[in-house]
Amino acid sequence: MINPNKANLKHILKDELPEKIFCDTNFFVSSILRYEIQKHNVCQEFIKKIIEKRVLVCFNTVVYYEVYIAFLNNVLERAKRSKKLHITQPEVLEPYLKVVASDYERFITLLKGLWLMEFKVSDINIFNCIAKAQVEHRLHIADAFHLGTMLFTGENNLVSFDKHDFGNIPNINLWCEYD
Amino acid sequence: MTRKAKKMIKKFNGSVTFKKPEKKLTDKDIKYICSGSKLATGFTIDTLLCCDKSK
Repeated sequence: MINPNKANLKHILKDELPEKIFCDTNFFVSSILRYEIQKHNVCQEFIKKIIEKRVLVCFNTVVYYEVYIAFLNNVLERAKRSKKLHITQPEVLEPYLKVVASDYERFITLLKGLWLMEFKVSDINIFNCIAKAQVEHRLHIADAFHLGTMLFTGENNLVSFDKHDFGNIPNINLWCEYD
Repeated sequence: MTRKAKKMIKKFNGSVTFKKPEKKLTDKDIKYICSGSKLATGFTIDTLLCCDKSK
């Protein structure tokens, strides 16, 4: 039964795809980096589906920044664990940045194969929707960017594994189920 | 491209950049895309994105 005060949860592989879908950064990161294997494999299948169905993939350009941060955090953590603690030194950082570049190249390759609609906050109305999303739903800034942008456009389909934050947003379809 | 999508592009012109696929991704391309680094041990996608789930 649908709870009107919560997001309507959709299964990434089983439910029928809409013609447009907003994407949170964690979808892109989960697609590229390997660790949470089940989630990663589901993302791989989902990519095939959105290509096949020619789904229009929408996102806020904050995704570019967030993806870079995620890739960077991943390698910096590895550097710390291998006791190379002076990670701000160029000679220490350089080989790790090559890994980030390689991951980022995969991300760019993915984007080149999709129908894309990239939104930037160049309109005060988008900003207002982001601010409203942040206040009303107590979201982190980046999450508010994603949700606010989507609400600005009047769309309601969002793919994100962040059920904790987006699961309580009413009137949206949250594409997060994969078990 | 559907009529609805075209309408959306027109409506949000200035805030939106529309891009058509530059190439048709093959299964081989998708395999390459999904073969990125392994996460650092103990990490999840959420921790990489600095999400604070304790709030």
